[in-house]
Amino acid sequence: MDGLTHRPTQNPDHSVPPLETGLNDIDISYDSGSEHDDNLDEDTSNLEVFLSQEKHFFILSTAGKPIYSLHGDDNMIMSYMGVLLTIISFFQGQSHDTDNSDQLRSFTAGNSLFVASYEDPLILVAISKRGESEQQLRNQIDVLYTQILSTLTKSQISRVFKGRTNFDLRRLLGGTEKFLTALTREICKGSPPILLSALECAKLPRTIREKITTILLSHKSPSLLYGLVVSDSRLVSVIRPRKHSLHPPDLLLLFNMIFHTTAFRDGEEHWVPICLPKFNSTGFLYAHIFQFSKNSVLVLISADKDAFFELRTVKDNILKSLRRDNLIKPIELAVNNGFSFRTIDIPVPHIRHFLYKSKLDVQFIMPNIEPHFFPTTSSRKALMGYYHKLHAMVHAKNGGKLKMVYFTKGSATFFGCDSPTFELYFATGPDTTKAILTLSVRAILAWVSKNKERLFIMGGGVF
Amino acid sequence: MSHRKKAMLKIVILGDSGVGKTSLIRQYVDNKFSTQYKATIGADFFNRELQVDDHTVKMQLWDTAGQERFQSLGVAFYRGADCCVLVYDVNNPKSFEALKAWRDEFLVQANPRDPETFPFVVVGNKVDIEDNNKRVSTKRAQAFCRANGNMPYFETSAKEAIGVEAAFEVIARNALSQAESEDYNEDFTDAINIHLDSDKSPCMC
Ligand SMILES: Nc1nc2c(ncn2[C@@H]2O[C@H](COP(=O)(O)OP(=O)(O)OP(=O)(O)O)[C@@H](O)[C@H]2O)c(=O)[nH]1
Ligand SMILES: [Mg+2]
Repeated sequence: MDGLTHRPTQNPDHSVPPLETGLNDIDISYDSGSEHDDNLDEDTSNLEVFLSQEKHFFILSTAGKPIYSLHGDDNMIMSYMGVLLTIISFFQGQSHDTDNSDQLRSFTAGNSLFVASYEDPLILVAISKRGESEQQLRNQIDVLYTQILSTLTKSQISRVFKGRTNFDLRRLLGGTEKFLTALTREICKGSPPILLSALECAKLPRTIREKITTILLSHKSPSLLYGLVVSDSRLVSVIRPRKHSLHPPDLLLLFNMIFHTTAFRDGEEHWVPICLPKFNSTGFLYAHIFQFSKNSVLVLISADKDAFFELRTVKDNILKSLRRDNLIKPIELAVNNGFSFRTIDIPVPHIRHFLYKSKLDVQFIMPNIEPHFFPTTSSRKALMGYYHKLHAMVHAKNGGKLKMVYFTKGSATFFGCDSPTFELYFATGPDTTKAILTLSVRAILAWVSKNKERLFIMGGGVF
Repeated sequence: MSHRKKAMLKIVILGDSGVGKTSLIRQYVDNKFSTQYKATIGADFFNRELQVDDHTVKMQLWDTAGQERFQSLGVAFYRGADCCVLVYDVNNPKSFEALKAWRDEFLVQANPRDPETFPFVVVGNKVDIEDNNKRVSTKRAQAFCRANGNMPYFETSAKEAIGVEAAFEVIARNALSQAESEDYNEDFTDAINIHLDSDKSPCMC
């Protein structure tokens, strides 16, 4: 039990790892073919491969029964879960507090950072050699936890474990493990929406978006709670009641299920119970999901589980209107083959890629990742790694001072800043001076502000 | 983790130091035996898959250290177990007399919903060692098991692989029925009552 000798970090909030960690030897082994959900574990069934993985996610019950693991087969992870629980309980055993304050939160071993999160009766663990911060890993496991809640609801989980700590939760998760797998796959790619906890919107002319929103509103039915048009994981339009908002973490789950698995994109109508945990973790809503063109999906959500036929009519009417007004083509064009917008379209020289998050809207934008700057999967993944590093640096709590950072790495300079209203990260040419960086920031901000209405959904349609 | 139909069973193995807990598991899992004694430190974890009637079960075997109680690990170890195996050395009466304490400790720590029916299995190990006048008689062991909730009793030798398979088959069977005894309510009717004009502050969109 080597693990028992590790101490928890003294100050869990201040654990930005050394800057060089893990970014140069980024592993691309599970980056291909997001459609093949079940192949992920095939080559990880031997212990050496298992232990050499850059990232691990484990979800277990407080009895140590496995619920989910990114890598490894059952035989491997069953023992591993026991060891994890032992390490975690060793520290729990040291304190008699009930407020969880003395629980093991994180530690480092070699170049691995270990982060644990307790959501009684579940324990979630992330282990990474990739140099993310503790906060970033914690955010990643929270996304996975939210996914489990969205399948089962918090009340149902508490109910099945009540007086039955031996419960095997995998009995209830059934086929929904593929959603967890899709999520972990996105996390491993360095998903910007998960890093930024923000939604990406499809860039559309204001008039087009307004027309779509007006159509959604005009066909609203009594039990409709939310209506969304989503294209290739990007929000096109949304309508909602005045008193109820939609929470980006909930939508991230929804988008993940729709666009990173094949479950809902078969041209069929789907009617699924779904818990949106940030909206209400105790119960289910019901979503009517229908893919109406190559990349685009209409989602109609109701609290009434008998509203299927009502929402089907709403769907038919909305699609009729979208077709009549020739609105489907512009939506598809906006996201065609993953297309967003291009860095050369914005008047900022040398910029290779950027992420801009509007904090107020909880939305972010990014241009295409241009193949001539980032030709390989590993270079794209490295870019996301640098974004994580910048993000960790500007969010590190070291006196609240460091709000703007940059460094040169190889043939590029990476810049990040965090302000009260936005976050901006970008990659530009090597050895760019501070003065040039400042000009670039100004130019990007000016461009964003000029195009705000095309880039972001400001409020959406409200009824 | 694609074998989700297989029941996952947590089995905790308790007993004094040196009675052969680790040896029994090794014999059962790997068909291996070593005469060398290496005390278990903290805990070890083993698995084995087994067919029980028409179920495939995966046994997660939690091998504990007999030498110390490792009290700080107690609750986590015992929590959510589906079966507890109490092991003693038939040639060591002290290890037999300790069974009651191990059982009580387990019940306190694991706090199962129904302690009366929680499955224990008692294993008297090292029956291959002959001519020992201190030996705990089968009769005495059986009487103890009867008096403490009718626990099934097995005599084994980890060394000679006697009785090991049979003991673990009953362990698996009893663990499985424990895991499936308490039915849960699998309906998805947690509907949310939405009041479209209730007072909730909007956050985005
Ligand atoms: N002759 C004989 N020796 C055995 C048998 N089972 C175990 N032993 C020996 O007994 C000693 C202790 O066995 P272990 O399996 O390590 O005992 P344990 O219960 O795991 O001990 P702790 O880990 O300290 O709790 C070893 O030297 C084994 O070789 C058996 O069936 N017959
Ligand atoms: Mg041992």
